[in-house]
Amino acid sequence: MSNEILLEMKNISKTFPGVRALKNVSFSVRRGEVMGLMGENGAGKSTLIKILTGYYHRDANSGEEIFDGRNINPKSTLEAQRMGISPIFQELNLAPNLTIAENIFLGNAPKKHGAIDWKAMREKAKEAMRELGVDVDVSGLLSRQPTAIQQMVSVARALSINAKLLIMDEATSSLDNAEVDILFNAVRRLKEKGIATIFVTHKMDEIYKICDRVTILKDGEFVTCQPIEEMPKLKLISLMLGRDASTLINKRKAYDPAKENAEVLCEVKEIRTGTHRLNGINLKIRKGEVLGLAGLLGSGRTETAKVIFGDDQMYVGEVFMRQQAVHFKSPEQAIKSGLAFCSEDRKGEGIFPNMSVADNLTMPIMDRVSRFGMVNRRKQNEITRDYIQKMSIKTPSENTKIKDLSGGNQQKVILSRWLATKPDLVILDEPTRGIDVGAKGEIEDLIREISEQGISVLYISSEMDELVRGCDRVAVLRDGRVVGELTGEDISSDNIMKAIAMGEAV
Amino acid sequence: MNNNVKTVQRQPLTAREIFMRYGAGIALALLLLINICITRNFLSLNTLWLIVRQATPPLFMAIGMTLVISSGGIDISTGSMMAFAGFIVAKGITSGGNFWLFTILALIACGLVGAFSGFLIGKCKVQPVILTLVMQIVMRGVTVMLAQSNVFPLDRKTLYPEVNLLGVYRFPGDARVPIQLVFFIAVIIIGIILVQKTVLGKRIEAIGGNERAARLSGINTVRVITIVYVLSAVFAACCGILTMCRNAALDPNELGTNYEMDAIAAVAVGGTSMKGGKANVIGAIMGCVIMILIGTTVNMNGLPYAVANIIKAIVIIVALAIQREKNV
Repeated sequence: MSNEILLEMKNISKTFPGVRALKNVSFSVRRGEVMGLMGENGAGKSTLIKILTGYYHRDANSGEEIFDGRNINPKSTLEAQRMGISPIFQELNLAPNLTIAENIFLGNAPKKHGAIDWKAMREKAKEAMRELGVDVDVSGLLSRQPTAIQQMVSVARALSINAKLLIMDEATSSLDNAEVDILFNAVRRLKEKGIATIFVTHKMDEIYKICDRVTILKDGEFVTCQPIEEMPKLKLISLMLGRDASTLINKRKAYDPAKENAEVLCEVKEIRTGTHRLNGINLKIRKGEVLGLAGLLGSGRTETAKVIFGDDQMYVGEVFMRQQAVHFKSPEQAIKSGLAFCSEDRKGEGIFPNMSVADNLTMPIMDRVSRFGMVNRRKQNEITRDYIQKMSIKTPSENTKIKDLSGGNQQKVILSRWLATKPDLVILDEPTRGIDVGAKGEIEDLIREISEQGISVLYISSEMDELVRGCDRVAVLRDGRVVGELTGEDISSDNIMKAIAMGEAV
Repeated sequence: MNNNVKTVQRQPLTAREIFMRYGAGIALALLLLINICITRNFLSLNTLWLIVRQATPPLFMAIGMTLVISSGGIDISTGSMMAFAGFIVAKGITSGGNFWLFTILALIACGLVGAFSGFLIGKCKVQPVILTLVMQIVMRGVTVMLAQSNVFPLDRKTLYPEVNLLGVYRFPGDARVPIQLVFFIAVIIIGIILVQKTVLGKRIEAIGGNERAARLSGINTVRVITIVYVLSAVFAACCGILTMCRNAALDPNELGTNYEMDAIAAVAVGGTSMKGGKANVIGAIMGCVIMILIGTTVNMNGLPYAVANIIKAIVIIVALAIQREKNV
């Protein structure tokens, strides 16, 4: 890593109608460096990135950007990419109905006599994916690939445009640990070639694994930029939140042996699905218990949840609610039976983007806030305001469109939606994905609170620390089977990993 | 758009948002202003009644179309549905049947056809534009076949007082209020309530915005989508019967052709998102009036009717340009 500066942004400001998103922020990246960019949701990370990539324009007369020795002010993402600034955005930005090779070289295909040179394209694509450690049929449709591979395609695509600066905004949020390692190896290799990476994530551990330096923003202002070695976890979190973070960490749930004898609320026996995603799942969820579901991506965690919730009816095996055999034909029936399911895919399966916070929050309980088919706005708003206060959701009003809220606040609205149904069992699939550390802590607290009210929770998470802190019991899945179960004091990251690696089907 | 900005203050609207929300109103006001300036005799009760009489039938279809489009679909079979409904009534009364009875029969028949389309779209996930295109062709064909290509003249003066009532009746008094005003007001009230106040309206918007999330929120998406196409068909049937009464004739080949395009245009101009998930019923109503008013303007100024189509096209393009979402 040289000390030559690749990117220098000085005194950047950005004003949106009514809000100053960035105030005189300075930010610099050296050649071949991995720079972490940290901050809570709303701190201005994405805005800064979007200015850099030409999606937004900085305020006129505010500061300057120097990239690769030139003064720049990209007007569009295309212009920024041509300069060598390649973003990999939070949401995958690919064409699912094209092949992997086509996606990598979209708008940039190798040509021969004016026509696309398909053979060269496939070979180059294959090579590019192999460099990232993925061996895959590049003539296959992208939509057939798991999210993780799709993410790799995004990276390969950016690399194909001769990027000098790679921007990974939450690029790892849909990858499991093994895949994150592959990605990081690729990033390290790129580092040696002098390619710099800006790495935006909410996952603390990853910052320490990969970053050389870290820049912290808070409320649109620059806080500090320091080498990662001088930035222990607690200090980092405290700087991000602007308050002492020691209270947030190491709060472990008290072990309560009485829960082991509570009545079984929900039980699944020998659940199998046709595609061999599930190969005989057995689970018991007791009343008031937080049962964690651990496992790698594709181990069958989400699939299990969808079977229980009636979203997937193509299974064999039995599901019992309160000792009664059930076979829900739709989520509608599951909800009536006291179930709630908060999907891992907030954008694709959670929010109604153009509808108000109130409508989003009360959608499953429409029958309760209406009479003769007419919505009772007063009642709807009452319930909504109640949850806005209880969950400290930051929104201008209950009539604001949900898409105008930050990710963490959207998540709180969705959680409120399900709590408002007064469920007996809440299934939470990656409830803290893509939200900042402060909101994560609040959601963990909330899970604890609801289990104290006697509501059972099925808690799916890739973040083992969260499971360790929040669960009474953890079931570990691998290849669609339960391969281990940990209770109380035995729950630890080590034991979970051991179970994933060596556990035997139980 | 800028969901990474934490704010607890209300943000003032940008120019684009103002246009999206009130664009139809602004366009309507402009159009009226232009007419007041250039069109002779524009400011008269007669002009108002003319517009009301012309706008009422398409308004029914526009309300139905608002529902369909906000559910994320589209229905281009409505024009043929008009003719089908018209045929049932025309055939019924010319064979000596009761007008009201056959009107109800026609609404039920169209509703069933709509249910068929809706079920295929909701359950079997057939593309709405393709399926309703098929229905457009099929229903036109069925109508023409059953009518054996005959035009039904409906002599309203002597034989069919109901056709007279729904077509050309005016309330006694100096104002000469046309019967259409009753329907005009009624359909506006029904539309606003249906879209903005009912649980059904919310569920339709939810499905249009995010069908997966809607299903996971316990909405029976197949049922709601089916209802949407039933309503669209029934509204189209109303539109067809009213138009037929005004024409005092039914031409199975002609009634309703291109009506669906005007309805879709009205909805688009009104600010309802073409991608679904956001209904603007008041906008659609104004959009519908705009479409009619453009025709009236051209007519009253003695220009060829083709000019109206060009103006409509410009209005639609501007509306869609304003609507477009910013892409990365």
